[in-house]
Amino acid sequence: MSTLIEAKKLIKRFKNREVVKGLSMEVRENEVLALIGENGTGKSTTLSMLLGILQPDGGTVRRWREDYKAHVGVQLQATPFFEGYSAEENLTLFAALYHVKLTKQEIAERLEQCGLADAKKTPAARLSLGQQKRLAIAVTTVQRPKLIVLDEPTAGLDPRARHEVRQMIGNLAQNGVTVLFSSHDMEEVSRTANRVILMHGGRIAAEGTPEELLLAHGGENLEEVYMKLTAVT
Amino acid sequence: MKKIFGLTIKSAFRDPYLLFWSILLPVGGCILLGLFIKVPQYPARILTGMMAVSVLLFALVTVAFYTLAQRRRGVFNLLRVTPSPLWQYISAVSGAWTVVSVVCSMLVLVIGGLVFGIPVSAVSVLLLLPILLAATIGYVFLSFPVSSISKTEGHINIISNLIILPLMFCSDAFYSLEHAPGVLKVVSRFNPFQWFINGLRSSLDVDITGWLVYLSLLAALLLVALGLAVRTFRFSDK
Repeated sequence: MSTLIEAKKLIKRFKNREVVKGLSMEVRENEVLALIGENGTGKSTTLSMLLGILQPDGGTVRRWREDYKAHVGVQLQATPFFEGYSAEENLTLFAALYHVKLTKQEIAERLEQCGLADAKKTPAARLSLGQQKRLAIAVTTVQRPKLIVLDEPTAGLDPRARHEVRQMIGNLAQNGVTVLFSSHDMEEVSRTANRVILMHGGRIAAEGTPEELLLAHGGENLEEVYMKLTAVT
Repeated sequence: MKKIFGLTIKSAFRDPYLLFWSILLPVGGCILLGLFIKVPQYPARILTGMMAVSVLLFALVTVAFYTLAQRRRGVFNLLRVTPSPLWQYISAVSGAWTVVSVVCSMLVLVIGGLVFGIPVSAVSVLLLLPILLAATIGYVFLSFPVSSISKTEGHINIISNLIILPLMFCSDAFYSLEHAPGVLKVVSRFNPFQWFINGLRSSLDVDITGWLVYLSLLAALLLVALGLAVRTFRFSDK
C-alpha cells in the first residue's frame, strides 16, 4: 500500500496559540482514514495543512505527486456552494474548476447517484442540510479523484442523512478512492473507517484500526477508548 | 473559465437585488426626477447621474456582498485546492460582473433616453464603453477591500454607505453644484464618482478632450483599486 500524503512533525500556531503540536501521520492508498477528536483539537487545521490550504509553522508535508490538486476532491467544513447557483450549476462550475467538461447526461447521472435528481434546478442554498452534504460529496468526485478529503461530513445531520452520507463514503471506498475524513462522531467512525487517528490537544493520542484500538486500550467501543485516552487526570 | 463567466452572468441576472438596485431604482429615479424637475438640461444630467449610480451600486455594493458570502462559505479556500489559479477565477467573475453592470447602465441609458427623447449617437456609445468599463472594473476591485475588512453583511452595509454616500452627495449626479459652497466644489473635483459622471457626459457630448482626461483619471483609480484588492484579499476569516 503506497503513501499518498506523509506529514512529519507538523506545527501550526494561531496568534501564539499552538493548535497542532508536532503531528506526524500518513494517508495510505485505498484506505478510509478517520481523524477524530473533540472540537478545537486541530482536525480541520491538520486537514488544511495536508491539503496545502494552510502553511505549517513547522514540519513538512510530502504528497504523492506535484499536481496533486487535480487528483484530490475536497469538502471543507462550511459547505462551499456558490451563491445563487442551482445544484446542477454548482456541479458544472466545480467541474470547470477542475478543467473537466461534464455533459448534461453526466451531470444528471451524478445528481441521480447522490439522490438529487429532483432537485437539480433548486438553488444549492435552499437544499436541506443532508442534500447539501450529499451534493458537496458529489462535487468532490467531479474529476474522479484518487483521494477525497471530507471535513466533518455528517456534522449537524439527522440519522437518515448521516446514513446516506456514510453510504456514499462506502461507495467511494469500494470504487478504489482513498477517503480521509474528520469527525467527532465515534459511531460514524467505527462504521466507516478502516484506520483511525485519535487526536487530542493538537497531538495524536492513538492510531490504528478500530479493532486494534479496542484491543490495545480496552473498552466496548471507540468512544470509551477516546474517553480513556483523553481523560483529565 | 468561459463556463464560470457564463454561469456568473446567468446567476447575477436572477438576483432580485440587482434588478432593484441597479435597474429599477436608477430608471425609476431618473424618470421621476426628470419629470418633476422642470429645468432644461436636467433630464440629461439625471440620466448620466443614474447610470453612474447603477454602476456604483452593483459594482461596489452588490459585488462586495457576493465576495463576502463566498469567503464565508469557504469558496476561496476551496479554490486553493483546485488546479485553477485563484486569479483566473477572480478574473472570470469580475469580468462577468463588469458585463452585468455595463448592461444595467446601458439599460438605464436606453430607457431614460427614450423617455426624455435624448439622442444618443453611435460615437457616443463607442465613447461610453471605455468609460463604463474603466469605472466598473475599478469599483469591482474596490469592492474586494470592502468585503475583506467586513466580517458580516452589516459591516458591508456600514462601510459601503460610508463610501457611496459622500461620493454621491459630493457630486452633481442629482443636482447642480453651481451654487454649492466652494468647499464642495473643490471636493467634487477630487471625487472619483464625479470623474465617472463627467466621463459619461463627455461621451454623450462627444467632448474628446474631457473624455480623455476622465478616462485617464478612471484608469488611475482602477490601478489603485487593483493594488488595494490584491493587498487586502482574504481567503478566509481564520
